Amino acid sequence: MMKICFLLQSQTVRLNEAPSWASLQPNTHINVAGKDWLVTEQCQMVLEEASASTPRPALKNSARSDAYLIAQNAEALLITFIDNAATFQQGFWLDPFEIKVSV
Amino acid sequence: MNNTIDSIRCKTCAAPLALLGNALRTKTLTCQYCGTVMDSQNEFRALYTFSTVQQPQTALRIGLQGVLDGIKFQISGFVVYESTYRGDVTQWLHFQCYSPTHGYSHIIKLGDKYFVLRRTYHLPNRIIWMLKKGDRFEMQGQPFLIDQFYFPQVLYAAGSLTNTIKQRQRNKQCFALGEERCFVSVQKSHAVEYYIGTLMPVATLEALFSKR
Repeated sequence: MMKICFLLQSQTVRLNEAPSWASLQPNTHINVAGKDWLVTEQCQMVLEEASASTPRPALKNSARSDAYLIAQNAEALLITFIDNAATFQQGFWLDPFEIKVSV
Repeated sequence: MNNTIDSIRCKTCAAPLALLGNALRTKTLTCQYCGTVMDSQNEFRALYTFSTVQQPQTALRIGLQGVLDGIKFQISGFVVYESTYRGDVTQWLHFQCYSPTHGYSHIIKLGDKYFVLRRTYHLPNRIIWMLKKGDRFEMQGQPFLIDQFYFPQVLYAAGSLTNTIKQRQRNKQCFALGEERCFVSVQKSHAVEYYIGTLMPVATLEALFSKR
């Protein structure tokens, strides 16, 4: 399906305050900030090229590791590992079929 | 100027192949005529060739369009799976259907049944991979009974697919049934995916997908 994720809040912590990306294997259950999450996906990307208008040009040629987690009610947690920091972004997955537009 | 490429020629047999689905998410393109699998993200480099090339026993074909829940989808590719357990052989077809506005929907033909599925990010109320055949669980308040766990191999694939299809690749899959409902989970090396869908009569579904 088309991935639509509304990210509502973001927090960046030092790596030693976060679980390691390697430990976040798919199907792993983990408690983050008192809530139970299930790891659904791991991926790694290398940014090979960036246009001049890229807002964060320092990321060029850098590696980025992501882990996607879900909780009840399609709640989403995206943990992004870049250099020495991990960013937690929390929100909800939404299927386009669930979007109702009224005028 | 329109730079969109909508078809290429097979790297092995030169047959014309339509590029369907989401170009950013498509990982492999498999020739329907000779079975050559090409890497969509690396200039369609030929990866390997399926020795078995066959048309599935269904009226559904790559390129056909149909309306599901009021949204037009186009069949972009399919995979034929086969699982053997204690001498019982089960085969099923998994079609990927794409809509530019609603992403991918999936159609599974298992025996004489069709299921139309969407990926879901809702969780079952139990850890299904800890359960066994015949166990029950709930998903979004609806009861399901685990029909079978499969460990299938890919027999054949065709068209544009979002998965990296490999021969002899085996991903554990769980099939569960509810009242006119179906739940599927697929466990891959880098991801676990959940799908939920509805049973649809063969004639109804095949009538929905009847034009290119």
